[in-house]
Amino acid sequence: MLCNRCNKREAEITFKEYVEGNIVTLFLCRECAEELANGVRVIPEEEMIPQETLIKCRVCGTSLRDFRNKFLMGCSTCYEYFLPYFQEVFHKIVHRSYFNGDRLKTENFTQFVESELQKLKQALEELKEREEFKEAIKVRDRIKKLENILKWIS
Amino acid sequence: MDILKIIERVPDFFSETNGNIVQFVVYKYYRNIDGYKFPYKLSVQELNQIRDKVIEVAKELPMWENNYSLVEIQQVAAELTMILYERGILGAEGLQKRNVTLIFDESERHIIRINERDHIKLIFRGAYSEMHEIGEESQIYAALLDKTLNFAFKEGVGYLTSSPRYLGHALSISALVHIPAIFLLGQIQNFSQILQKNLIVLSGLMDTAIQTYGAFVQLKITSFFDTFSETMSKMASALEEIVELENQLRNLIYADRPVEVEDRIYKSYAILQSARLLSLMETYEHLSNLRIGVDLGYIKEIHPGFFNEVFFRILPYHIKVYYGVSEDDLNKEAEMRALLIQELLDKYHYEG
Repeated sequence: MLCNRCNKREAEITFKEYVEGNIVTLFLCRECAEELANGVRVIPEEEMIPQETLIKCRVCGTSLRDFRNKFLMGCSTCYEYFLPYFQEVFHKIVHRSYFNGDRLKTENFTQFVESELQKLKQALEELKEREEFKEAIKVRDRIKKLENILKWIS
Repeated sequence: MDILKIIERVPDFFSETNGNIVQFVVYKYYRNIDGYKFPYKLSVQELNQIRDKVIEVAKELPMWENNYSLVEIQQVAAELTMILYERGILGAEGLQKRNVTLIFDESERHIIRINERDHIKLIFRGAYSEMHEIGEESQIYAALLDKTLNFAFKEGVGYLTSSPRYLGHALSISALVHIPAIFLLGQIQNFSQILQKNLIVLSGLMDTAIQTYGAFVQLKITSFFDTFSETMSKMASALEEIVELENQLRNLIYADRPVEVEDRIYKSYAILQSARLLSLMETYEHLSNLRIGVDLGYIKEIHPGFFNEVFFRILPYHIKVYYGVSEDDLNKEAEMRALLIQELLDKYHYEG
């Protein structure tokens, strides 16, 4: 569409003016819009966006701008790019921005499972002696489950 | 899959009847397989690859005891989807997304959601009395899956998830609490302080958009760079404090027997027994009042199992599907809800 004022250049801007109680809408080129707005400069959209927000993840193409809009990462590599931008915020919210733990490893649970099994086997014997069969069945099932887990871990 | 059977089922993790303040706890682990983009960036083909990979490993896990259901959301009827959603088996994201697959067992204690916002959401649910035991068990399964599927992980950051608020051991712990005494005696401020201190937030019932009704409130904490034990200890200590506060206030009610509280309990009981139309919101409110009446011994003729059965069955799609009510007929839905409550009150009526 051509500019409503000069009829020469392409219209880029919607210009709304309040004239005698009515809102008048014009579609203008940048130059005419600036003239009508008494010298107020029209800032192109790309100049309004801070350059840092255009940083993009090389794997999935998510930009910092996308991330800020959705608060979602696109892939693991995004963390290399965007981690510093939210670490500070996290620090303010939860007073922490670093993870001190390790991966969850099955080997770390072997001891727990074994000691649980020992306790449960003892409990099962006691329940049988007291003829509390309903409870005994529950304990027996849990023993079976933990033995299976132990097999998987090993 | 027999949809009516699911509707009628009282989930195993929700079957304790001894008037617990904490009704159940839920652990959720958020995981992504290393080398793949997160689900919303994947093509259908890639999503299918992830699904197949996860199913192959997950179906062998010992927690199912060879008895699990596998549901591909794309391929099931809309009504089943809504029932699974209301029961917290499917998440809100799964309602809108393609290629979400669920694996769950009949007890509804163990659930794996594939390709929601993350490749895997591993869910464990159980009673409050089993909180620590289930916590340990859930960590073992998360580790077992990691061993075979190799999840994305970064030192100093933790498991990498699509939403950074789950970093660290990448989990959330939720608990459904019933705190009528706190509500009835206006102690919300004390309750909020406990939550704030432990960085706990309120969330919708069963992770749905359904807001908290009556005195049923769902609490949630996310790991936020924390380890499992750190997250767990915050939730456990908050729950202990809430239980203590609620019990103190219940004792006050029991000792003083304020007439306003008794009035609410008996009015709610009468309404549930005789109303012809019951909306979801008012039903939860009356159930909540009735429950404290039963817990405190004002009302002796209702077996506490009533509350466990009624909890899910009064949800909108549970009613609509079970009684064949059309989608927009809210009046009929309310009528059927009232009828169901009265049938269940009869079923669970006993002589003290």
